[in-house]
Amino acid sequence: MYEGIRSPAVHMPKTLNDLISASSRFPNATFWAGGTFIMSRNNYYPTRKSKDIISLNEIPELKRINRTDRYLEMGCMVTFEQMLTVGKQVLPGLLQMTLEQTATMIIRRQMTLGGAICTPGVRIALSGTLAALQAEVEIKTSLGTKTETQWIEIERIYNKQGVLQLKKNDLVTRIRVGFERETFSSFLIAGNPMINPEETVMLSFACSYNQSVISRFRMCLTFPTILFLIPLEIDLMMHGTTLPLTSQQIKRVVQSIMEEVQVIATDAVLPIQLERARRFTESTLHELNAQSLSER
Amino acid sequence: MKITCTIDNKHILLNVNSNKPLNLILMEDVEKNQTYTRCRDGNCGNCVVLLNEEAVLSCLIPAFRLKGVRILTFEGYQKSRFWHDLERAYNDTGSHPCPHCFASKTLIFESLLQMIIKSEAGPSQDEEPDNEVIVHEIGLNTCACLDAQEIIAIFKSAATYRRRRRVRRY
Amino acid sequence: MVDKATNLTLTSQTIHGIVIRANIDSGSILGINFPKPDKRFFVLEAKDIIGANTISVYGDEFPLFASTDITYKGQPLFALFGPDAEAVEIKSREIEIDFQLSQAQTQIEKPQPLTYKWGDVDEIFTQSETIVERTYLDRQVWTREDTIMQVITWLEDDMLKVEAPTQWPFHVRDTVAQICGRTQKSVVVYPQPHFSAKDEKILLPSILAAISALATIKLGARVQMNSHFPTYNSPVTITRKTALDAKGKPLAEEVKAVVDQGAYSLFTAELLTQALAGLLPLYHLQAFSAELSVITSSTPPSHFYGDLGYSSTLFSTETHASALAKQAQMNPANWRIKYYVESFERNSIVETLPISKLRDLIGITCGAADFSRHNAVYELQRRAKRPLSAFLNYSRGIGISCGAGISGFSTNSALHTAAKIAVTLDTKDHVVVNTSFYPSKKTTALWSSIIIKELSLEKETITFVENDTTQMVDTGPEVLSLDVERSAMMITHCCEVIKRKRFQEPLPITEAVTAKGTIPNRDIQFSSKNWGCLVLQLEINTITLEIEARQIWGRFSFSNTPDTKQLQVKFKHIINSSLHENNIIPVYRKEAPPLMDIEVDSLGDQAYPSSATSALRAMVMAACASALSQALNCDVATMPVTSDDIIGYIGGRT
Repeated sequence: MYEGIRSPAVHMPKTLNDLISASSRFPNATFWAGGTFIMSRNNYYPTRKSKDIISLNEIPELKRINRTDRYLEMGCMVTFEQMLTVGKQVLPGLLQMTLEQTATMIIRRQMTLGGAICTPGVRIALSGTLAALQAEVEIKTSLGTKTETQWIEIERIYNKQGVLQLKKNDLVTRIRVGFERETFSSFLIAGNPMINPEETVMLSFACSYNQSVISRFRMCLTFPTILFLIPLEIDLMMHGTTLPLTSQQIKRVVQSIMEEVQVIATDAVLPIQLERARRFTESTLHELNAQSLSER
Repeated sequence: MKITCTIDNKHILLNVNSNKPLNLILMEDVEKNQTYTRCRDGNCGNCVVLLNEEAVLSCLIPAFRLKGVRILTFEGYQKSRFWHDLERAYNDTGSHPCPHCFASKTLIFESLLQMIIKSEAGPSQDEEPDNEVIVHEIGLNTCACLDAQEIIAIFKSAATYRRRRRVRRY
Repeated sequence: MVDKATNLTLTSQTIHGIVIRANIDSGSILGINFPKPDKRFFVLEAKDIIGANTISVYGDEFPLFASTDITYKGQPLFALFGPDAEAVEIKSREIEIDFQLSQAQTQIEKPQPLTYKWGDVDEIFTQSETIVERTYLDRQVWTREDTIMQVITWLEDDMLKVEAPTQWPFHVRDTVAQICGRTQKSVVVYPQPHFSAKDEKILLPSILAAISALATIKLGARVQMNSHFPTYNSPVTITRKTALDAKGKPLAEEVKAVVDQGAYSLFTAELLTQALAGLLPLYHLQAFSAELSVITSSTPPSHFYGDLGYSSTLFSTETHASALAKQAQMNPANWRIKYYVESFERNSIVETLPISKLRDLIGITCGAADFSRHNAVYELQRRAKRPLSAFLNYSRGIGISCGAGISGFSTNSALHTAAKIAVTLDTKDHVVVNTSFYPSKKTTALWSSIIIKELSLEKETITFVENDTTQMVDTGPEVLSLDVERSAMMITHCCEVIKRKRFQEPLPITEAVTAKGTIPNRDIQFSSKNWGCLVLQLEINTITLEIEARQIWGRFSFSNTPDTKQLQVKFKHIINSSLHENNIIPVYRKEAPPLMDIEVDSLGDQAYPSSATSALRAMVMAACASALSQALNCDVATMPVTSDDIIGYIGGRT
């Protein structure tokens, strides 16, 4: 081929079992979903260090969207555009908003659910939204001849800095979102996590309330390369609170979140991100108030 | 890796690295000079081609995905009859993309025009995208030469011509 | 079938090359460690240059390759060649270069600063009631690095042939000849189609072509080089100090402008003249003093970037006018209508259309934009106690600016030297226009309209030479819309002579004219044939802290323009690009009126059109700065605005 550059071997398993077998035989291979993240890296091509590729494109089980009594289950190779088209009637509004704002249709046709969740080094908006919706991921772990499968909450696959915590032989195969609908949801983004991650801030928020009493209050604040914050104490704090929130309560929530941000993100965070995070949180709570008042 | 595909209606046998991006294949192996940009981060949106009639960023398509596909670059698209709808729309509105992004934005417009056609269902099933969607889609190309009103005007004009073409078919 | 062969020999295929550039600002090279010797690869360094290691640009010079000292980040160090582009790129990453860093230098550049003055500024300053002093900065910006420039060179019958997209084909030829130690006649350049909104292809093609040609001679092979190195503008810092009387009327002004041209100053004399043209205010002053100087620094050399300094200084002039209006507590549009007058001193540098026309334009534009009402509302908001509150979600501003558009070089510029155009009328009444300027659709339409009018011919009989430098005449660098005003004058001159000779001399008749021979001999440096006025309304999204353009109104008057509709489209392109360059996003709002309301009118004069491109960039920047000052309740004097700036303004650190 080209002088001194190896063309990576491409393996195209046709079933999940083939995939697990391939991942064991080629432990250093790169899993290739949509390829949008891999190919947008600066020195992607040409490179001498091309790893073999395991393409997930030929596995039908990974492309299914399935509806059970409690969950909407989607394979990790379902594209963003498929989710929007097929799942239009059943997708939570927050997830629809996030998918539409993440990219244009041309890119959404190529971006996959699994690929978006598992990007190394950069967290895009989808992870935060799925965390706010308390989505779960199915992880298959290859243990030699056995394969272990478990469903875990999506936030457990990241640490507080947003770094993926999956092990080398873990495979994300499906994602499921519950049908419980939030009463209020909001998605805000400033910047672009792929172009200027150091200034980008994303906030996903889902809240359920009944007769002005909050039953669920779930927020995820993401700075693409340094923060993936789900303030669970605030969920507990707000549980049972009556809407509308007072300015003191809003101030307390904002202050609490910002303190946590400072602790987790330390010196890496820019002033613009802090300011945006503060404003996002404050304005979201004001909007929650506005909605609750308008329903009276 | 040896791959056969169709580029601008010509059958091509490529012998390239399996992970080589399509935009580099077009520039270096097939010598199509439409996409003379390489932003290295998939964010300029200036390398759009039609792959199986769908617009894609050619810098995000690896060679191993090209087996048996039909690729149409802007050069090939200009030879198709669909190009005339957009050409007339540019003339009618008096607005057009700048030379830097002309090819890419035209192909994005084409992909949007295809959305309004449900060929089996017939004209009554047309689904025209919202203005926000049109503006958002064209925004994939980061060249900032056209404003939202121009983009919408061009699309609406081209959509009219495209519908007339479909009516003639039916 | 396309097949990429695996077995290559250096002489049988196209060789691919890459330029290795410095990644430090300033320092010296201690050593270069190449990977183990490999016969498939070839390196070209400064010592391999056959001629001199210099590139000449109208008397200024800079090295092609750095020898030991590095003067800017991105400076070419050497070039690597190999059998294919992939191998070369990978090999280049294996090369290790040891640098010794040194302190980046900033120094005053000779020659002496350019000065221009009238009246006694010091005397008026001592007597004046109020002095307003502001410092404006047009920051360094650069083009995206994604546009690839490709140059191909090869030898054919002992002729060195070059294919390159270039705004200056003859400079490519001369540079290749100089570097390769050949005569100019033995080098042929085939200009390729290009689009260079920010003058990306003035000197970079010459650099790339010279390196590629050198490799062709050494290897005896066809060589292809790709490069995507950005183009930079020259950051300009302008300090303006204005003395006002008790009523706020400006009396005298002192201006100091410092242009940072990067590591090597090129086109300096013309840059200073163009910058001076932008510094001259439109309000009357009893005394004025301007001093412009150039400094060098460890940044890539910068000069042309769509214009040559005019837009940066005009931005400061118009922003300052709005600041003076604010000082006088007047509506900035009314202030301009009151104080903008004709000025003999200004007209000796830039001759404009009558100021009364501009005052009319300001009135029309403000009427369309409802400027007074918007300005009053936003002034009230500016004085509100909690600006940029996340709860109120409201922070808007409106700004106005105007200016005269200039194009081409100043009258006395040495850059006009040798610029030539030739027009031939042949026996079949066909016209051939010979110029090294790239015949784009817009340019050929203008030139054709002149020829059709002068010689009464059909459009189909006109052709433009497109081949190579053996057949073209040298028209100089294609910059500053020279294809509009100056070329139009030169073609008209040729046609007039041909018309006189047509029925007296046998055909074919060829008439060639130089720029020097066409430009009227006069003291005025620039002649502007248009006025423009721009009003811009913006909003700072108090949640995301992004700046959003809400609406823009523009009214332009040209003495003569062939196609007002095409100009409207072009102006919209420029406004959109300038907004993005300044980090201002035009946001689409459903049900909102169109973002831009642009009108161009032609006064029907016979004068040649001049371009408004550089003035428009300045107007956008100035209007944005004024509007941002209102929205943020502070003085915004630096463009483009960054997120750090916004945070600083919110925090009260201006």
